[in-house]
Amino acid sequence: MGAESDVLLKVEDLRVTFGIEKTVITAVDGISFDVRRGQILGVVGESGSGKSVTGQSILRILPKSATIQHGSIRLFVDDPKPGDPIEITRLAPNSRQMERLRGGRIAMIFQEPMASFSPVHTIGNQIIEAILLHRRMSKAQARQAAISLLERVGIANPGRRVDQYAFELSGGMRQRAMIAIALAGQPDLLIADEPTTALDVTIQAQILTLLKTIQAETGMAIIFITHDLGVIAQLADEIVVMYLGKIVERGTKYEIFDHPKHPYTVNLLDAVVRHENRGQRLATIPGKIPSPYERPAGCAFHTRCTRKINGVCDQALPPTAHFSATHTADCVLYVDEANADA
Amino acid sequence: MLRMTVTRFITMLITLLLVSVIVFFLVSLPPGDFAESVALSRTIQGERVTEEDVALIRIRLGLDRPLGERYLYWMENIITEGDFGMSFRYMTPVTDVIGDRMGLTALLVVVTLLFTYAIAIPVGVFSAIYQYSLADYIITFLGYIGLAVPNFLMALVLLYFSVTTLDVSGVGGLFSPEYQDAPWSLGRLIDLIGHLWVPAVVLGLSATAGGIRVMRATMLDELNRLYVTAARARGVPSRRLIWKYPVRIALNPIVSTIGWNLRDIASGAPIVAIVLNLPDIGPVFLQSLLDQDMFLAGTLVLYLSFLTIVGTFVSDVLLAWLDPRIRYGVVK
Amino acid sequence: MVDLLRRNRTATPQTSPVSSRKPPRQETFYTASQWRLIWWRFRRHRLAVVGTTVLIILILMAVFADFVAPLSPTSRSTTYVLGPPMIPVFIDDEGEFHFPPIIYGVTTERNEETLRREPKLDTSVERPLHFFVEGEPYRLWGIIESNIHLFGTPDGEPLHLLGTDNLGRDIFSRTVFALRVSLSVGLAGVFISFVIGLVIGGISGYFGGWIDFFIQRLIELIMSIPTLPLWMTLAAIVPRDWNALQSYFAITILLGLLGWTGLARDIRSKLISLREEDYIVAAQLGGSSDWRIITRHMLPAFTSYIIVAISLAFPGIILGETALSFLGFGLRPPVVSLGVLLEGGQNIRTIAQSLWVLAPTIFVILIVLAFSFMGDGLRDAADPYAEQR
Ligand SMILES: Nc1ncnc2c1ncn2[C@@H]1O[C@H](COP(=O)(O)OP(=O)(O)OP(=O)(O)O)[C@@H](O)[C@H]1O
Ligand SMILES: [Mg+2]
Repeated sequence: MGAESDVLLKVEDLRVTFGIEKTVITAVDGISFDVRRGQILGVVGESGSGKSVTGQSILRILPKSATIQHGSIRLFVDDPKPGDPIEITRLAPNSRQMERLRGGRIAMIFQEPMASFSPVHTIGNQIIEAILLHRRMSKAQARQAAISLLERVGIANPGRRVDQYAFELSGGMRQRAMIAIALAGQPDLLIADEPTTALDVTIQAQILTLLKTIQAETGMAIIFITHDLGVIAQLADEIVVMYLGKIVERGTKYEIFDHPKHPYTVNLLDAVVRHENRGQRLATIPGKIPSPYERPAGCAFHTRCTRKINGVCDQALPPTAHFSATHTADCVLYVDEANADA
Repeated sequence: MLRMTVTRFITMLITLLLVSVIVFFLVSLPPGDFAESVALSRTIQGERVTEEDVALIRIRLGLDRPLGERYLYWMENIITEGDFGMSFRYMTPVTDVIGDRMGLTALLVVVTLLFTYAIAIPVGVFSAIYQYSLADYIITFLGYIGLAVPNFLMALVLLYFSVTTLDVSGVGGLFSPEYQDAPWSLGRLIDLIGHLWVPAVVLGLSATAGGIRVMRATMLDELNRLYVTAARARGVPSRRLIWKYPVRIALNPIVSTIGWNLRDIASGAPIVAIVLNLPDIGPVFLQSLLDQDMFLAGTLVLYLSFLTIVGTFVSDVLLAWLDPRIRYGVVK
Repeated sequence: MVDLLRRNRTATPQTSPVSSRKPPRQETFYTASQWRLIWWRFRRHRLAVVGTTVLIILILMAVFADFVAPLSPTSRSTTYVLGPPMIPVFIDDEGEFHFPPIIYGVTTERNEETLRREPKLDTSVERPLHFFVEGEPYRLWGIIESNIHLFGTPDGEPLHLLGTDNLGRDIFSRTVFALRVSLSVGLAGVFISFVIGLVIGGISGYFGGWIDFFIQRLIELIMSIPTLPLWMTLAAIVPRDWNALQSYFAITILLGLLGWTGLARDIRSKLISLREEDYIVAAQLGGSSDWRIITRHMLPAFTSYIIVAISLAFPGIILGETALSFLGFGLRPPVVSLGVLLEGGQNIRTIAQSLWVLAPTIFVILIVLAFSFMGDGLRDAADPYAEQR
């Protein structure tokens, strides 16, 4: 695929744990992936697979109880020094530099647009805050900029909306306003953590279209987190599939949709088909997600896998099989491909 | 906002009225006849009191009329002339006995309330931000103690220290000797404020402890909210973030406790004033109860309730002003 | 509310409070009955456990007051008036170690300011502290005759752990008996409050509508009158010529009558949230009578909740009694309550010279602290997701 210089963000061997009392939960377990400039990377997986934690790690906004055990997150941008990446994992979460990255280089939007806004500040107040943090402007200019941002994300009558509170807007409008805040700092990367899950289907489609348009206009990269492969089909260039803190399969959109390899991906895709047929709200796959306290040994998916090989899958971690330069899956079923590669 | 204020104001008036009915009913409860006890106390003082005199006193105090009528008469005088009726003991209008003292009590209550919040808010925020630190544990523990120590004991302990270690005049009373009976002046006011902090600390102890608890708990809740994460994600520096968002929002529950705290403070004000011998309504209240001077006592209870009820009204309006969700009627 | 005790929750909001137990234990954890579960969670709150222990000790002291107290509450010493506390020491002033601990003897000394002879401790006389010694005879609960006391000195000389008051009465003994009275006032007061609160709160919460509206306004009305002045006014109405026992009942009832508002509110809000629960709705649709629904379905569901509310209502009543009696409007001698004991402390001259007359307050504070710790612990254990207030 593209040259190294295309890479905007490189995550390598990231491991994040939560310490609760004396127990340690591994939320993200040694994952690596790249985000290319101008690309939309889809991250899919069921609840608890570590998608949000990955996003929070990139911005260093993890809860206090979380620790980045090892791994690196590097952002390839030309300042402060051209050529040298910014080592995000080396920065202190509250450092000045990290604060400048947040919103300025990397922005994030969340699943609950209502809860993302302060209930006692107007949305304008919060957009202007973001603008003033990352751009040199007077307050009056920032207000004008906020209004034009609102217009750009498709909010009608922005001059009035700017002075309203989040609870006065509809769900879709709130998420649009949230996108406006994210755009305020002109970031290189947007992390969208299930931004449409809480919205109804028609609004969902509108927001996806908006994100696509904006991505095309600005050329920024997007990490789009979702548990809905149907959504990702409309948006992503490349996809990583996560299960219980690990990436089990990755590939381009076509590779994943046309030639899914890992049984988990296959199940997820089946679920989408079934769910579209039945018109259910959430696509589900059979079996119960193991509790994070009791991570299965071997391949974490073996407890639900229909093609599990006893004595193998529940013993050792599966090898990584390479199907193309971009397409890999971690599953013993493809042990030949894995060996061929090695 | 205006409509809400007006509605709230009318509710306040109704509450005041109903409380006055309750209080009036209570003070009219005791068996026996005040006219007789007045007559008795005069006899003890050496006057000769005849049956006619008793009847005359009864008429003068309006005791011969039915309860409802007496209430209306009492209320009418309060509203039209600010006259709270006669003190049986002093045989003078209640307002003459306690007018000046009422102002001092109001001042003490308000100063205590301000003091309470001035301490509780920053300490609560601090305690929440440094959750599980040594300081947090100490603050939480002191909070428990603050809630458990009766305020009259606190007053006694302060008195003890003032008698044994400080100069004696330091703590009891609200004025230095030279201002004791002086007319109001700037100097007297400053002197008063210099003395006021002692009773304010004693009186505000449990409200402060409670305020710290509420502030800390709400802060901990708010710090975990998504809007905090979202603000962090757009690069708001952490110190500014804490004061602009969670603290600002945690103020709402704190403001809604103003009514409660006022009630607690007004509740403790008499006993603290009695122990510290402050020249406010506390000692008069005690004396009126000992004398069975029930109109005076009732008036004082009504006055303390009045402070609470007005305070609650102010806190409601303040809350609506602070919180747009209430102003717009999104939440109650 | 008590964040010291509920650390896990706020720190990790997205996980259940299930602990670090290994899977097999976790299994039992899930299948344990509701009460076992509460007990397990309660045990983990250190402060709540400490509070409960202290409370049990205090209750035992009150129940066996005659045995625990070295003297009767009325017996007076003619020589040791306003005498200082005799604290048992293990190491005496010459640095010698003693076991059992010793208590110093008594002497008198002329106060240079007042020129009066005042009792003082005499460190040259050392008396060992013994347990289960013979002393004043008594009848425990009016039935069991005995003269064995928990502790004392073998020489039979009185032992004033917390000193004596201005009439030469032993403050520790009086405090132990006062504990009995104060705790019983608290218990009875809370019981009355609770019954009223349950009935009114229950009606309000269960029926809702205008009944609820009316009751809520009434509660707000009562609550807007400052408590202590109201109590004082009502207590002042209790006729002066009633005897100690009559006024004891009057005051207890009074404390109970005014304490129900908070409980009624708590019960109502809990009921309202319960009313929405599926199984109650199902019972209603199934045509069960109101009474049956209330007693069979709703009461059991919030027994734990009620226990919490009760233990948190105690401190208010105890503090109320103390303040009232301190001012002279509450219980009357010869009944001794913690507040009555403090009444003597109103005189600042006495306090300045003999601070130990305030010693009974330590017990007031202990009771209140113990109840709050226990109540908070219980609440967190019974309902780990309760709103923090
Ligand atoms: N604040 C936290 N405290 C403790 N554990 C956490 C916390 N946040 C996440 N986890 C744990 O980390 C793991 C990954 O969680 P994460 O939120 O990243 O999942 P997700 O893929 O985003 O799921 P969802 O679709 O539900 O958002 C889970 O097992 C979860 O229990
Ligand atoms: Mg998530």
